[in-house]
Amino acid sequence: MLPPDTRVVDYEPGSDQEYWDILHACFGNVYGDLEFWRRKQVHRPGFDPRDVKRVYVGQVPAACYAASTASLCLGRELFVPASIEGEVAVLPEFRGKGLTLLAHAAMGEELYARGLALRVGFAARALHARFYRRRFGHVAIPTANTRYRKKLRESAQLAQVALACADSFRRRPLARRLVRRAPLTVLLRFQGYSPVMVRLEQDSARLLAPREGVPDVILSLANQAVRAASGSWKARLARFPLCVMRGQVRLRGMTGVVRRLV
Amino acid sequence: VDLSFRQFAEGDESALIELWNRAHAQYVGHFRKTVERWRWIILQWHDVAPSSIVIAMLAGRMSAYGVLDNDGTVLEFAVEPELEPEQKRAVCTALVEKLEERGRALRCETLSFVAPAFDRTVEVVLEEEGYLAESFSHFGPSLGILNPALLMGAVLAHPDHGLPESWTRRIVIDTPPGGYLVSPQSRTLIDVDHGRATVVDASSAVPENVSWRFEVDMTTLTDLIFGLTSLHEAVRKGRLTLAGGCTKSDANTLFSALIVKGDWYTPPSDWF
Repeated sequence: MLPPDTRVVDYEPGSDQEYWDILHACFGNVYGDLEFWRRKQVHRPGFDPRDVKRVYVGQVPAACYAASTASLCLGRELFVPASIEGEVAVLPEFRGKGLTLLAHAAMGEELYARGLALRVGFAARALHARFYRRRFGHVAIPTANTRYRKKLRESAQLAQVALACADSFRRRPLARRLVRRAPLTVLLRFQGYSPVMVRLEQDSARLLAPREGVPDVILSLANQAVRAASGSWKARLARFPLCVMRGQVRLRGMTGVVRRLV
Repeated sequence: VDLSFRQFAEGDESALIELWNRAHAQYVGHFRKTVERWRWIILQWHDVAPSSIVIAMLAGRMSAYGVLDNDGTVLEFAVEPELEPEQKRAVCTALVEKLEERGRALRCETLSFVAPAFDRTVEVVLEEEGYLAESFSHFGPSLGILNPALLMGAVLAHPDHGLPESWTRRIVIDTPPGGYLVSPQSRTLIDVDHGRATVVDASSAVPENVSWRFEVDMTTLTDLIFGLTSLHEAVRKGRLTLAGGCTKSDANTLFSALIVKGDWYTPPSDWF
């Protein structure tokens, strides 16, 4: 299966560009630029030239593989020496020929000799099933990791859109009744963006700073609810109760709104 | 609340690491932080500027910190767990806002946190601040055992993983590779003396006076130690066999002691 004249080569000064070219050809800028790579690998405290490997087929550098070492926490004050492996890349024309398996095996023997107990890699689950489990026999550990994201640059635009909508709403008879006696402060929470606070008054609508006022009404919209708000009005009407039942649309302070109306 | 913020200064490393360890004491799956390793990851590899390491000082004490990389990922985020819930929430909110300010200054499109799912305060604060929570189950650690004797020895020596004091016996675990591509050890000897275990590699030896003998392939052993399958399931599927008069209950006691317990949380600064 392995092409003839295939060999695994450790890092040597001056081979950085060659290594990074393989990574770049396979993943683009995912692993950053060459300087970023150097800081990660070559400038790492305790870097060992055996940590960074290239696989040559004849004279062509066809694949790469890297590892570092650290102590993995497995409990209160329970640490075991482990490797952290990654940067597995094979040039497209050399895939399916067992180059990664060769590099993984070579690295494994060395890491074992260096006294490590575990091998850890970070991978997408799909890749894990196809590769790490099937080829290496490794297990995927379920984690408690949750990712929280928010757009920073678009928040200002969103505030302007919210203000325009509020201003348009203010002109309607229902809104006029709502703000007849006192201004109405609405806090809009669009998932993924900064909250926007708008104050509706009889003759204007204006944005408030985050803690400038106490909201009378809080409207929280999950991402799914924002997506459900597209399409024809019939489709939107059909989706709305579903969004409410799923908690994707939440409205707090409705008692006060009803009181204003009656 | 006497809350103020400052940026990282040389010499803060140890205090930050201690704070991170206290805040995440209940989790496993992260790598040990040393000053040298922390400085390399944060200051050198990710090239984080001191102004992107925001430290919250509550009544003069370091009570939280966040590290923002140049792409808008919060590499580390820790809040003192001993704070009162209301204080913790206030500190957390203010710190998130400071990190956002910094993110805007760095012209980041988005800000992204990866936090443990069970940290309710962080979850509530981030949701209130408008963050979208996403399941992160599609990405995580893949793990294999390189040296079963070393791993089992470390686990069984830990006070939370002890064997019964009444146990004095020699146990052999034969470990064919299973799905493993690399498996340097094929046999492990666990010598138990009044509950204290000594674990050695016995691949090239033929241990004598063995009380119990197990055969389990490396893939199943990994599943067992990391809690991804049960002993019952492994025996039922014929992937683990018992010999030498060992009952299922005894086997259960042994493998329960070997199981790594705890929720896994790996901060982005540990990703490789």
